[in-house]
Order: sequence, then structure tokens, then C-alpha cells
Amino acid sequence: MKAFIIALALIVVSSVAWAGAANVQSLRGDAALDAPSAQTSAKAWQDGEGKIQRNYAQQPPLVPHSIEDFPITREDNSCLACHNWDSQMPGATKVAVSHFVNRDGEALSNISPNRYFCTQCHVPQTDARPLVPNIFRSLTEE
Amino acid sequence: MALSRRGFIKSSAATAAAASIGISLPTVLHAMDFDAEKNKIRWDKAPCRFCGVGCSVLVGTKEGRVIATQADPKSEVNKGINCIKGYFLSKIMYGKDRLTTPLLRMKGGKFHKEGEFTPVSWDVAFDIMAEKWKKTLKEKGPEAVGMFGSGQWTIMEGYAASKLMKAGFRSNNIDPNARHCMASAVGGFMRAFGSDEPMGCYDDLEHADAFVLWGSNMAEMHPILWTRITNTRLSKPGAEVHVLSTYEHRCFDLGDNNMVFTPQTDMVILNFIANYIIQHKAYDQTFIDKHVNFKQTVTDIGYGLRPDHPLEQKAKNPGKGDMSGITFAAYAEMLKPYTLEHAAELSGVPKANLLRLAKLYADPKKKITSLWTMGFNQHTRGVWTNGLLYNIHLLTGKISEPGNSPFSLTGQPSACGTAREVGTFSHRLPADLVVKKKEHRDFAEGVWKLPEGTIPAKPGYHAVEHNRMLKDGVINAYWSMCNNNVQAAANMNEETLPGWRNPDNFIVVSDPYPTVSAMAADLILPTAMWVEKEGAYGNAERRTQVWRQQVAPPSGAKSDLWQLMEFSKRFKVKDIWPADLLAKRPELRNKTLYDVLYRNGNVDKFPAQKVSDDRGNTYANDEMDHFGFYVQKGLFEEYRLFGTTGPKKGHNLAAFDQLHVEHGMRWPVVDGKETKWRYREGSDPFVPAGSELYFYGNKDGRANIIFAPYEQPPEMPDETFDMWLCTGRVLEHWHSGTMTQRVPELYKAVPDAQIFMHPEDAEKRGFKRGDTAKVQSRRGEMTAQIETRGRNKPPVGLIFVPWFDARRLINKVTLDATDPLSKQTDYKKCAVRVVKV
Repeated sequence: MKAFIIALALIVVSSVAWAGAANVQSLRGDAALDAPSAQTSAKAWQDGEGKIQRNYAQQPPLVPHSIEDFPITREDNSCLACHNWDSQMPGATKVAVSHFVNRDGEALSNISPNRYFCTQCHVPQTDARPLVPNIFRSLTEE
Repeated sequence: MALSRRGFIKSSAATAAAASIGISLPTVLHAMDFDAEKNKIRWDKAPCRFCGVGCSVLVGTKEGRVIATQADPKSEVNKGINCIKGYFLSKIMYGKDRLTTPLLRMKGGKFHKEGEFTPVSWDVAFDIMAEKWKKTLKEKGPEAVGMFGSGQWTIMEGYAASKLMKAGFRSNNIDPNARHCMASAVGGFMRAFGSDEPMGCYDDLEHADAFVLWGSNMAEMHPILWTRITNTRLSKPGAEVHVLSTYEHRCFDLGDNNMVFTPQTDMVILNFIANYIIQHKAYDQTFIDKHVNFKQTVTDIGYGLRPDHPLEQKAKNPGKGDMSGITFAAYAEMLKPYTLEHAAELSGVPKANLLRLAKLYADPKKKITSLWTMGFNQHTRGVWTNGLLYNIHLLTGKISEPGNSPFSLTGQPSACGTAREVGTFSHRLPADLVVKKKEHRDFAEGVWKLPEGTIPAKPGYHAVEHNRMLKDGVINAYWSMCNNNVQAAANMNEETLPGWRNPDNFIVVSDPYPTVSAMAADLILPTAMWVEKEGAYGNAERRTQVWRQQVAPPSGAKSDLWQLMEFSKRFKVKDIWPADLLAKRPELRNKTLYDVLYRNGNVDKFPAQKVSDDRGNTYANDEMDHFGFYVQKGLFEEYRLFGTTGPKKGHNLAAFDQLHVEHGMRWPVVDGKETKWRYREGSDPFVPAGSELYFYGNKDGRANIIFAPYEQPPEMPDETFDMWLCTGRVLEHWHSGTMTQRVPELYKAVPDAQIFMHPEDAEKRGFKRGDTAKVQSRRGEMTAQIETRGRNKPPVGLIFVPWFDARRLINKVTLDATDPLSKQTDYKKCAVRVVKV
């Protein structure tokens, strides 16, 4: 695992450093195209470390915990047990009011059915380190 | 989050206090934060960069950078909702490793096939490219140059590329990556209706009573359409969802009738349903009498492998698509073997489920929308299978009206708009025209103001043949734009890599990022992407959407359009056209391809102007600045002539200026009005009055029901390779992950490709969840972790592996068998084994 992280860090460094130089790499790092697959290690879900800061107001909040034990089926949406507007769960982000408006713009008393499958917009995060940095800047970072 | 120093000091005391009690505080808002100028964000519409749904987004820019994206509330497609990818569009252009200079493999100061990538100027890049193209054209002719394009090209880029290849270099060796995803759909449409693309539209998703998914994981691949289906299913009494797949996926969470079938036996199920409808006299006799012909197709057609492959040698009619007319009675007779028992036995689906599905289609009161994507299209009998579904909708008359809709979905944002409508395939021209028909070539040459005989009549090499021809040294100069085919094409070890690295070949890749394909190239061209240029896409419901350039690309990167047009300046007509063609128009001799193709009075018709919106914002247009005329408008308006004046009716696109105002319009657009349901009187202006329904793509106005039998796939599990491999995508990644893997949030959601496997199969092989394993086929191997509890749940005997992961290339394992008619690869079925590392 440790070796893997070091290898990853090297990849990140070198792919940033190539600019203007000969050293250009794909997301494979320095592995040749005909080389075997990269080693992989088990990733853990970020869990219980608190909310993940949004990049901009319109971004759906990321899920700061594993959702492996929270299925969403036609009969039952287990996310809503903690996240519905009337939930008492401390710290759980409440569903935004935008989710109580249907496709035709009508206000509803419950989640709109077109917002039923939460995972289409809200995803949990593993502890994987990004392969290359992203230099997007949000307004709050200016 | 990085705060400014001032912001940090301001909030640090409160934060420290908050942290000590375990909470985080919102940022304090001061009155000065309401400074209107400082807070001003310019929002403007653009279609999403990812899938074929074609959601509209609002792009927020400030000081020349995209700082946010949100869903467009005015878009009929998505009405203010995006999927997770759409919400993170703001970050796709900002991967740190954006390419900013051309890179040429060099050794000792010169190009060398085994050299190191070395920065060179655009001039040097185009010099070496032109030298290689000219040498190849001179020594071997137009059939030795090739271009691999994209369903992610803008419409104008695809059109400019098609002109350059087909009319400039006079080579039909241009094919898009859409060949990998949509070619079977095109084949199905052309054979049944004589005109490409769906008759229905997304409005069907609210009108239907029932939805049937045939090989489409819409919950992940078309999330916004899935929200619309979910909306209907959960809010409309009696609505139901039937899901068919070779493995369990997220759509099963909504499904009322879930069916996992043995690969390839969808054909058996489809014929069973047709048989059931006929046996129970549930067909619509009036509809059939007025609107339908019956045909059968030639069988035993091979698998699109190399001609010397034993399976091709064994096939009686390799590659043949001939059809012959039959009677309804004969058709009914051919279906008779496809009984419920037979279908259940071959497919492995319980009889009760199959019967429920058949009864649904047979119920005249139920309005049904059938949907499919790669399950049908990436299929060695994909064209046939598309047809088998149309058969059911045509037997029951459930077509071309609100809610009754066989609906072929697309994978790429402009698979329809660019690849199919522009006709960037090796056999096509714009608006459903084909190179082999002289009438069609004549028309294209007329629009392009070129002499008769400019466009070659012989179809070029298709996508899969490109790699084979590169390997065989038949194509030697090759340009790949806006796609990642080394990662995407099947059988990488035996065909793609040997082809690209063949010392006889010079390979160019244009891309914003260093992709797997770029690493296999000889020259990499840094490319502007998405809203760094003005463009247009066409989505799966025939909707054309135009956007303005929102930001500048990184210094050094240029759009595909700029690259194509600049490169064309390097060629004189007299150097590449033959004497007999030049003799027809001697005044073109000393002109460049740029003059002939893009300064022809059409493309350069619109002078440079200021691009602005109705809110007083102005926008850059780098191509207009560079070339001195409104390039995108000129290309689009010339292209539009194919739809408005061409020999195939019903392909009219809206005018360029109107598209800049509307949030997309569905063609045919006549008198400024869009068409929701094609072929239906009252909706489609091309249907003759009083005919109610008219399939005008075919001369007799009728659609074809085409019988095709079940035939086996080319490779099935055996003792040595004992499992099926099905490949595909995940919600979070698109287009081989080149953009989405560089967005930290999407990467961290799904960092690695995994091997989705049934727990029993894992146990039998001694694997626990999370163990590393090797997937091996006769062609190659890849390594990944076993996932037995993930979002995909395969049955015993099948694994699912996604192909987005550059570090684990599943296409080293896949088989390059294709549908012999559409030439589209079957990525859904080959035989593998899974072993310990």
C-alpha cells in the first residue's frame, strides 16, 4: 500500500512537470501501453469526516459516507430516512427545496419522483488520490 | 478549500472555536460581498459534453474561466436537472496536464518513430504531417490516408473533416468512433424505414404507460432520461417498467419485470414476442395493410472478422444484407419455432416473465416505449436485432405517436448530430446520402461547387478495418481526432497497437489531454475543447443545440476546426487531384484545398461579426478572428442545404441564427417549427395530407418487417475460457475517462475499473471481494479487483468490466468481431477466464 502511494505520487509529480519537456504521460503514468495493468489497492470510503465543501452553490453535495448499506429501490429510499426535510438526524444535510418541485414546476409535499434516485447526482468519495491535479478555481478561492 | 489570506484571518477565530466543538461554520457574509460587479457571473447555455441525452447546461464564467455549471431550467430535455457528470462539467477543462504545444516523436533533432515526444511549433507539426500525407498520396493514392473522427466533434468540425477527406483528399477512409456505438442502429433504421434516427422523441417518456429496456442501463448511462422514466413510473397509475439485460444493474431497482437473459438470446425473446402477437391475433391488421411490407434477410453472414478467419471462411453469406419480400403468412410460419418454451430454455428467463412482457406488447391499450443502447447495437447481429424490435412495434402499430415509440438511444453527445447526420462514416454523406449512389455524389459535389467525380464512389475502410489496415501497412498516414481509439477499440494487442506502432505509418492524435491514444501516436496536437470554441451538437431525439465560445483555450491549444482548415492550406489541388478531374475545372489547379473547400462562397459567406446574446454579453470566436469570416455559421449553413434541398426529404435543420436563440430544436424544422413525431400527420410536415402515417424514407411509404433468425455469437464460454465478458460504462465516467478521470470528485467516486462477479463464481475461484484478479482471453489480459457487492450484479458465468480506466485496459481482452452489416464491434460478448495474479 505504501509503495503504491509513493508510485502514485511520482506519477502525479512527473505528469505535472512535463510541460514544455519531453516527458508526457497519460493516466497510465510511465507504464507502457503494452505493460500489465497498474497495481490496485483497496480504497476506503470517506466516512464520518464531516461534510465535503462544495465548489459552487449549484453543485449537488457529495456524500461524506459509504452508501453500501443504503439501497434505493422502487419501494424504499433509505437515504430519506436521514435526509428528508423532516428528519431529526443531527448533521445530515436536508434535501433541498428544489427537490420538491416536479418537472412541470408544480410544488409538491414530498420529494419529486424525478429526484427519487439520489445517486444520479450525489456520490460518495473514496480515499483515492487524484491521478493528476485539477486547477479549477471556485469563486471562493479567488 | 483554499481561502484568501484576508478571508482566512476573518474566519479563523470562529472556525477554531467551531472546530473545538465539532461543527463547521458557514462563511460570514458582509455587506461588501454584495458588490454587483464583483459577484457578476455570466451564464450562457451549452449542451453537456458527455452523453447522447443532450442536456442543456448553463455555463458560469468569470474573468475568462468557467467557475460553475448548472442545469438549464429552460431546456425541455432536462428542465433544470443534471446528472453528477453534468454538475462537474466546470472542471473538465482544468486538468493540470492539458496539452499546450504540439509534440513530435524525435531523435537527433528529426522525426523518429521510436523517438521521444518533443515540443515543436504548429508550423513544424503541420510541415511533417503534410510531408507524410503528400508522400503517401503520391506513392499509394487516397486509399492510403485515413481519419478517425468522433461523435464528440461539433457538427461543423465533422462536416469540415468530411469535406477535407471525401472531397479534398478524395478518400472515403473517414469513420467516427460512433461506428463503435451507433452503426447497428443506423443499419436498423435504414432497412426498416429508409431514414436514419428515431421517429419519436423524449416526450414519449411522459406519454408511455410502459417502458421496456432492451440492453440499456439508462440509470447510469442516460441518467436524466431515467429521471423522466422514474417520474412517470412513480406518478402515473398503472405505469410499469420491464428491464432486460445480461446482468442485474441499477435499472432493476425500478423494474416491475426484471429479466436476466443469456447473451445473444434477446433475438429469441424478440421473435417469441412477435410469434405470440401473431398466435393471439393481437396484431393491427389495418395498420399492417396500409403501412408495412414483410421481408426476410439472408442468413449465416459471418462475424466481421478478418476474411481469413475460420468463422468467416465457414459462413455461407459473409457480410450479406440482401432482403427479399415474403408474405405475412410466410413470416408467421418462420416465427413458429419461437415458442414460449423455446425462448425460456435458450434465454434462461422464467416463462412467467416472458409471458408478462409478451402480453404487454400485445395489449392494444398499453402505450409502450422500448429503449435500447449498446446491448442491441454492440451485437454481432445488431442490425437484425434492431429490426426484430421494430417488427413488434410495426405488427401492433405502436409507433410514431405519443408514448408508442421504439427509441434508439445514443452514447455520445453528437453521435446523431455529427456522425450520423453529417455522415462522417466511410460510406455516407450528409442527410442520409451515400457515396455509392451517383445521384447523391452529384448532389454533394453541386453543394460543394466541385467537379463531377470528385467524391470517390467506393466506401472507405470502416473503424475496425482502420486498425487492421494500419497493421497491414495499407493505410500509412492517419489522423485521429476527438476520441481515444487505442483504449476504445477491441483487441488492442493483436490489431490496434501493432497498427499504430507499425514503422510504415505516421499517426497523428488531436486531443486536449495526453490520452492512451496520444501515447501511441507519432505527433500529438493540443486541442481546444467544449466551450473553448463555438459549436453545435445533435442529441438522440434529433435536437440540434448550438453554443457560443465561453472561454479561451490554454495558450497553444487549437480547436479541431482550426486544425482541419489550417492543414488544408498545405495542399495544392494540382498536387493531389488526378489529371482528368483537374481537366474539368482547370481554374482550381493552383488553389489550395482551403480555397476550394472553405473559401467557396458558401463557407466564407458570412463576414466576421460580434457574437453577442440578448443580455448584452459578448463572446469570443477564435476561428472567426483567425480566418476572417464566421466559419461556424458558414459551414453550418452550407451543410444545411443537404437537408433543405437534398434528395432525401425530412432532414431540414433550423437556421444557425435561430438555434442560437432556442434551447435546441428537433428536426425536421420547417418554417421555424420543430417536429416531435416523424411520419405522423399533424406532427411531421412531410406527411401527405390524409395519409395519417407515411414512412416517406422508403419509396412506397411503408416500413419493413424483416424476419431474422437467432444465430450464435462467434465466441462462447468453453472449458478453457469459461465465462462471458461484458464491457460497458459507469455513471461517473464517460468517453474513456479522459475528462472525467481528471475531475477529482468523479475520480474519487469510481477510481478504478473493477471485475463485477457473482459471489458464487468468486468463491469457486477462491476470491474474496477486493482481491486482485486477472481477466484473460485468447487475446490478452487485464488486472483489477473483484467486486461482488457493487452496483452491477452479474449472474453466475458472466463478468462485467468497465472500459474507462486507462491503467487497466479491458480492450486488450475483447474480441474485434462485428455485426457484418453495420461493422460495429460486439463489446458485450466474448469468452474469458478469471484467475489469480
